[in-house]
Amino acid sequence: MQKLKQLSKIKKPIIEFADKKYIFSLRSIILLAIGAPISAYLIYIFFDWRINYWLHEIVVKQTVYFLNLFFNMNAEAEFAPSGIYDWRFSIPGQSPIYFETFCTGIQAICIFAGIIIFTPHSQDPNTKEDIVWRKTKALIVSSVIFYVVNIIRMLIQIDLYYIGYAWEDIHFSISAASSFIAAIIVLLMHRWIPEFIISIIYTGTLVSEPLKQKRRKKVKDMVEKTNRADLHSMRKILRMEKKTYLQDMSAWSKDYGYKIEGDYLIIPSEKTSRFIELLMLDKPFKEGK
Amino acid sequence: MKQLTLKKITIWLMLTINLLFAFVIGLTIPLLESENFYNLGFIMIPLLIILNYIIVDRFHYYLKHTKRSGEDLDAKT
Repeated sequence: MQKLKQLSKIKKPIIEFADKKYIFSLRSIILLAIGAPISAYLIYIFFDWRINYWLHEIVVKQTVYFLNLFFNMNAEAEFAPSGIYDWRFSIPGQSPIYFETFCTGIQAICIFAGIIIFTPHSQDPNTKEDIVWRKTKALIVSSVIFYVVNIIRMLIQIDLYYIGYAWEDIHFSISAASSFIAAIIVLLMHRWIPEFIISIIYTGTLVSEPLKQKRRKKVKDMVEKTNRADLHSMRKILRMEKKTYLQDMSAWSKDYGYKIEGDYLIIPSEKTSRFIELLMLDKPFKEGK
Repeated sequence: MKQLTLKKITIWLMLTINLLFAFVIGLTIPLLESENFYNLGFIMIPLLIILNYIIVDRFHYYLKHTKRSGEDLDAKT
């Protein structure tokens, strides 16, 4: 809890992407992490409820229609309310295939619906102006794609089953392969609601910011006391490559009039106050010499 | 003005599609054989009402922005 309070106190980073600014509240990020999985689960439970088996019927009947249209199979949708689920596919010459809620593809739609609904809105008024429209577009397009891909998956599986393949061999493999469509949906989602990916990056920035501040404070204290700073911390503050930092640091220190001795950067006493000033900038040593 | 007319047609098309959805749902319900077949309407119609509001809100957004860009042009001339 204390860490959360510390996080809320630090100056909020701003991420710029495609000429728009993204600033998120800590509360909205926590809501995404908690709300998305819970709401996805609740929506799934709702559609798994017996009162919503009309969804099974629609999916089964549409699949049967396309099976007969494309493969001339004489398949039938059978209402058989004996077990947990009510509907099954009747395939000529093969044993029937029972239909359950997972076969509707609703679980994938639920996951993306949860993510889309709980994706945080930027606090910048221009960025969040049309967020509801963008979220609606993402929700409708992702749901339609999942629904259509799921029907195509069932058409392929049932046709293979009809021509003689064992159901165990084709069921899980093709279902797993079709779930790769989720990657396409994530890309599409990024086009309309970049807030989702950016909020993940933003969380990383929020977590790393106190560490950066702590490191800068440590270097500041050391410079105030001994007029020197260790190169390891300076490399991280200046974001230099590990392999080339010695050469880069040497060139950089000459620019500012500092010296390198062993593992330390030596700052002349008349330059310490300016060093600390530049060190404590939002972007250290980037905003002026 | 031409831009606004195009946006108007887009909104009109979206509202028409929305009405067609409602029509298809109404047409489907009596054909269903499941026990609680009427739940299709109870779930889908509220979603369509929300969608209707979002489309109207989008038209408001278009109007606001067309008006703003018109004001910008007036300021330049």
